[in-house]
Amino acid sequence: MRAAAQNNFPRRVQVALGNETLQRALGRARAGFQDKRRRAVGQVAEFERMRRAAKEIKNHTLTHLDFYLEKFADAVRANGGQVHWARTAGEARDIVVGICGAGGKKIAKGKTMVAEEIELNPALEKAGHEVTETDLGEYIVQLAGEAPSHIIAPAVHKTRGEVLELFARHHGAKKRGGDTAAIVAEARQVLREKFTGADIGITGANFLIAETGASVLVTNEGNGDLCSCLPPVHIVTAAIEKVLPTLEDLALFLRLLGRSATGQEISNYTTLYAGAKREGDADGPREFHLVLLDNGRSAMLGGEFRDMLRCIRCGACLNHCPVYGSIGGHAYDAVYSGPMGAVLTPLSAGLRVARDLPNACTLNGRCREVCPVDIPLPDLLRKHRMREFEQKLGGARGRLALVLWAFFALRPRLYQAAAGALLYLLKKTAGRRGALRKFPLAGGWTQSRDLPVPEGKTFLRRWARGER
Amino acid sequence: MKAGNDAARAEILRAIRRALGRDGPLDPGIARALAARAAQPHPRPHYSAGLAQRFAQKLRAADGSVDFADNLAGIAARVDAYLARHKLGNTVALAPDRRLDRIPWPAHWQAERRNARPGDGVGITPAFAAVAETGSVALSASAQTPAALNLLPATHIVIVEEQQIVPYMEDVWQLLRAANHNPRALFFITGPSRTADIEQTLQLGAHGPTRFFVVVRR
Ligand code: SF4
Repeated sequence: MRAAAQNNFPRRVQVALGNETLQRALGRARAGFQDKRRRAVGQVAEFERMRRAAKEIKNHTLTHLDFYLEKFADAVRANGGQVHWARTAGEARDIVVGICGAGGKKIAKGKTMVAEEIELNPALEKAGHEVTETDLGEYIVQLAGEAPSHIIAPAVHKTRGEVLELFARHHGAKKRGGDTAAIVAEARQVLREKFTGADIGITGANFLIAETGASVLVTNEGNGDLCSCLPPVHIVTAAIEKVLPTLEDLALFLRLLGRSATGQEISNYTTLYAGAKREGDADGPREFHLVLLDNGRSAMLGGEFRDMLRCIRCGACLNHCPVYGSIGGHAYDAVYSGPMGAVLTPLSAGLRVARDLPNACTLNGRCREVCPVDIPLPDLLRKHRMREFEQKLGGARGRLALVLWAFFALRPRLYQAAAGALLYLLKKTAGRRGALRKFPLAGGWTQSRDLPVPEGKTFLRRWARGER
Repeated sequence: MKAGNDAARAEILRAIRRALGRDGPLDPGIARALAARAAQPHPRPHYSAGLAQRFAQKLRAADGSVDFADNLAGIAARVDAYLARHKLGNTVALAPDRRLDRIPWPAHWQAERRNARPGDGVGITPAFAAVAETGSVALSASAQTPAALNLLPATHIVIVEEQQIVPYMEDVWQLLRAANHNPRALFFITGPSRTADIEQTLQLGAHGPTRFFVVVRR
């Protein structure tokens, strides 16, 4: 686990804030994601009603989760698929490695956060297999030897120049040119061979449908479908909270997912997979495996973080979080980042090691407003902070606040809105004036009120209006 | 393996029930009620445009191309014109489906009824249905309609009958239920494949087709 490193959160924040390339990449991404979502949501008068219905469906499903999971598993088997239940990450890893069999297989992988969660790639490589990520963003971070920094845009922290360098280093003579079209064409050519030569395809699932046993895969690149359709074996890794009762429920969630994630009314490829190749079928995998992962979720179901199980991994809360937008995903040093990651990581890694994450929050509430299933993220983060307080895990809050303050104080024009947010954080977490006075650098702020930062209210208004 | 899987299944279900404050499966009465819950309509975007018009508008917004034909010969002519306009040659892989067999494809084509191969330039498939709300075509995988034809060719062309266009995705579910059909794979495709993974810049033709063209027969 990356848990040990969690203690260095303030340090990683400092590094991220000082990284100008990263700051440019994050600034561009934030603007793009927010604009697209706002436009898409604004076009649908029914959006709030859809959002409320989605929340209700998720709550209903979670309250009857055992029933819908069994129904789903039975349907998968009826479709000719095999269902594997995994209590822990280790169990899920062993199952997938077991299915893959003797070493030396070529594995083409679509984007799956569950595989990240169970640290599947190292296990497959250790077993002697060659694993290729096929989502372009995932492929880029794989070449770079990094982890994804955003759940739907894994390489959002990379600039075009950095990708060009990576490709030159790894593809050698295949290098063709510098623009985005050339990069994508190069990746297309290299990865084509990976799809057609693969022995096994591994993908995630955005939704699991109890009614029909379908695993639903949503992509824009079509890479997940190539992984699902061409290799003779298809393995889907999915967590238990992904199940939805009916196809009608799916239609609703697809409308919310596309708009919340990328501002699309629907992603380019939305595919329902129901089992292995059938008699007479022109193509399709001869084996279909579905690995159902618990890994702490059934425990969450019974506790005060149940709401978090509604999450559909759309990324909207990351895209609208001033802290994520300032430090990027890698600073969290966990599989999930941003507000949803700050809730999930202390649950999986333990509050002791991840104690700083719930403090990286300005309580501006945007994450909850944009969440398509209305997860009360600020409240859940507050719960973590209360536990922290009870357990006397006084974290690096002071240090963190100082680092953030120093960064934004130095760049007032550039990041005015975020600066306001982070000063708010500073007030809330580093706390009262007494505590702040201990920091030499903070003197300027505590002594004078005219530091070039907007008031908290101004900040919230700006965010409400969608300005940056 | 089997025993381990059964134990894991039992334990996960037990943990879920414990979390939900139950010691066993749902009461059979409740389970029956839940089973009957299927097919509930949910709030969804309303629109007033006609189906074909809405379909074309939304698909074009997603960088797809749409053309209309009045008869089978018209379909062949529209596709041929599209290939010529974009200089795509005349080697074509056709889904081995009788709906395509009825179309009088141009004699100067090299058309093959088969699944896709890596390196194919053009693939043509018939649709299962089309969704006006989002401009999507629904394509099912079967013996006559191979899945790879939707994915491998650089240009993907889909033939749709106007009466196949339904208002919403939910209407596709009704078609499936009416036919008691649960296809192995059901694709909803809305335009050519794309990525924005490089600096949020939209680039068409990621891994799937670079061009996506639909001909609707009125
Ligand atoms: S918490 Fe909500 S906004 Fe964030 S990823 Fe999950 S569903 Fe999306």
